[in-house]
Amino acid sequence: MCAFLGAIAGTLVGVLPGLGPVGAMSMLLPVTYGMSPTGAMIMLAGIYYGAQYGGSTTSILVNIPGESASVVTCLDGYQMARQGRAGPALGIAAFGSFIAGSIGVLGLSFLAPPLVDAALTFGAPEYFALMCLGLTVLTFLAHGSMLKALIMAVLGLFVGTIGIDITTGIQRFTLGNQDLMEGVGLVQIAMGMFGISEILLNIEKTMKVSIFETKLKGLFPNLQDWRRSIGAILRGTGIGFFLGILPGGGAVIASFTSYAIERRLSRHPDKFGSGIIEGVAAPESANNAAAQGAFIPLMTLGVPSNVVMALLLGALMIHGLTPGPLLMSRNPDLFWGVITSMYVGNLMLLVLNLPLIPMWVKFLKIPYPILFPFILLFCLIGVYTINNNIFDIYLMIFFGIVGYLAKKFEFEPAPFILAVVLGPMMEKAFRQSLIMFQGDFSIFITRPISGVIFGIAIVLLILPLFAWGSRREKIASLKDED
Amino acid sequence: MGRKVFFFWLTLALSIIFIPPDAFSLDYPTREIELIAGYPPGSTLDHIARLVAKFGEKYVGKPIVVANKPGGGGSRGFSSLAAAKPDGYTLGIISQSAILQPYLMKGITFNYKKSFRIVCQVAYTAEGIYTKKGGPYDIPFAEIIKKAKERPNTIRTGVGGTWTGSDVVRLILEDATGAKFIRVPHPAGGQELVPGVLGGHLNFAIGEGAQWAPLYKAGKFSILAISTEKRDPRFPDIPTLKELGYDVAFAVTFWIGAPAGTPDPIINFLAEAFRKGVAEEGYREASDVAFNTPGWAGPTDSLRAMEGLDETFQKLIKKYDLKPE
Repeated sequence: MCAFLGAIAGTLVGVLPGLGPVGAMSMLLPVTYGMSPTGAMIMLAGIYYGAQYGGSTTSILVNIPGESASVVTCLDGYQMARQGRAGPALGIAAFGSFIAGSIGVLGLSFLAPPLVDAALTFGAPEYFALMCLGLTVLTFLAHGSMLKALIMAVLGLFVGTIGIDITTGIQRFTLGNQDLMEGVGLVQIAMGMFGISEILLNIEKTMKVSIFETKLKGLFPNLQDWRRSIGAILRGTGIGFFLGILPGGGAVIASFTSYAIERRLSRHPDKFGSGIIEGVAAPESANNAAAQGAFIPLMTLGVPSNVVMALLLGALMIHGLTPGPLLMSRNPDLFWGVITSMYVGNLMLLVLNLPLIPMWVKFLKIPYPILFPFILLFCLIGVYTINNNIFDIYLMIFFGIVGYLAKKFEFEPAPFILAVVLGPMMEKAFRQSLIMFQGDFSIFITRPISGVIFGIAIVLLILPLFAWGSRREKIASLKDED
Repeated sequence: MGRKVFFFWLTLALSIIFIPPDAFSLDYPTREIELIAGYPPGSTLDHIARLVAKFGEKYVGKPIVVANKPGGGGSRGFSSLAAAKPDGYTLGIISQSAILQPYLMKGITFNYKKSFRIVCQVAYTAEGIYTKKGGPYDIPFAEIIKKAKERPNTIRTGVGGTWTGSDVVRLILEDATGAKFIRVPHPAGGQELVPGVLGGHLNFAIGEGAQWAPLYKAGKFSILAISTEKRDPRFPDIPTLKELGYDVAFAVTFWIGAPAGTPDPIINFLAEAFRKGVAEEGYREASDVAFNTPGWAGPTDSLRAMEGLDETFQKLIKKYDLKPE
């Protein structure tokens, strides 16, 4: 019962862009005071999943990421919606999330302790290596000009530096502005660059041209969609789950990485970004799996790996329970209750959202001139709810204009966003590593795990050169034939 | 008609007589109160804010709503509070960062004495020095200090963000003992420190109870010392730094504050209401779980405690020539 309420609340919250699960959970926290701890956890977990899925809904329907993990879903999901395939997109997102979540729950139940031990071997140097790998993956995202994508990435890295320096406390590029001290928020940027810029671009076109293809091509994923997506779902689940376990690892990175890898492995990489179903299946599965993985450090060590987990930790503490190794042994009913609730929550989400798909799709049929003011209002309110800060609204509008100009000049937002996420994490890991080892650069290679990860990154970087080499031969041979 | 008028005035006169004297002198609160927490939901300070709100509101008489305004290591919350109307309807959680930030951060306009009126202290928590149980640094703290002095900058200690409680304890320790550690900052706090210590990447770490207590109870961590004046009754085996011979007595303290200019009657009313709330069994239990300790002190005592901290900070800042960045 609690799961149902939580899931509904969560979905509603997720659909409102900006107000993420954290905000909703903290607002509803007092409501859970009166419940049993298990009930409270179930409800909060329901809100969390619901919010994630709701975020995907807006990503697909109106190109507005409801929260950071849904950004990648915008890339192909929205394009599918424009082609009249919003239904299948929403459907595969729901199913993919469910499958990933279920597998994740299994992983959590059976593999938690050994996985935690493995995760603990990751120190700052290993994180840095992983981030570098993430950056090389970024290159897979580029569509058109690689140069333009790299420029966006560098700009993203720059924006990522704004804020307080971690080691010295020095403020960087904040211009003395308190609102910039914690850095530029990802959700604000994403909502601007994806959502607002899309509205600006659409208004430009003649009102008569319909933005969304009104002839619906099916409400649910068809067999062909399934066949193409199943690999993406499974791969996304694996990637997401492992990235989610790492304390500080994130659903955002998981979604980007799975998207990029899916594209790399695909036989038609050029179709990515134009509305291809794997482009929705992969990140959606990844971010759900990451959400499951994120529970592991919380339940086994009492360490929250992201803000949502920290909130759950706080909620458990208010109920008088301390997560950690003792929780499994002392309160097994709570531990297993939470696990079961996750599964139920995932199921609930599926059951709740599938019937809603036809409703959402109808929503898109509203003529755009009437639709977009509401979307805009949605965004403005939503972004304010993140921090109760008007500055965020300005930020979002600013990035909306930036995104609009970027698209006009054919610069892609995706590398920018990934860099904004990875940059600060990478820098932090790098500097922590150097501090820990007093300036010794060799550790990145001599430590086994980080050495291996760097190796993979270098291989991935060099690989295209070989492909290029053979392509040159092909081109040369074609020329010879003339 | 005359009858009705008479009864009207009689009723009015009687009701005036029966109005409790408190309400007469203090027309407060008449609506809900906002409690600003400059930290994200789920953090230690947010948790404390919510506890104070939950247990304080029944004595205050109106709901207390926590407003999260994260940013700038808490500074955004403090600035918000300083700028709010001093009518008693906006309060905020104040930590020692409010004292420290004007010295060390650019663009800070508030000052703990001039911008706020301290209502009362509500809780405090100790910083603990913890390491992996059975690990190479699971040795008496004095030996670690000795090692650090013999070979400075070889022992890796994890602290939270720059100039948080744990960083300050580290600075005070280094100042008191002459030892020099490798200070590895972790802006995300406990969630990074705990895996760091467990995985052996950090030799030891300094952090609040909420970080290490669960794993201490589970036998994974050894707590070498805590920073408060006296031992914590929940952890009777952990010695204090003072007992071990170091001149350190530092508790991360949390107060409730109001904007400067909030009238005395309101401050006193709130202080009394929160005193009752903090004394509640439920508050103590919930604090226990988070390894905080309820501790109430009135407006004057709290201000004096803050002044004491201010002095300590100023000495350290002068000695190490720390400047605002």
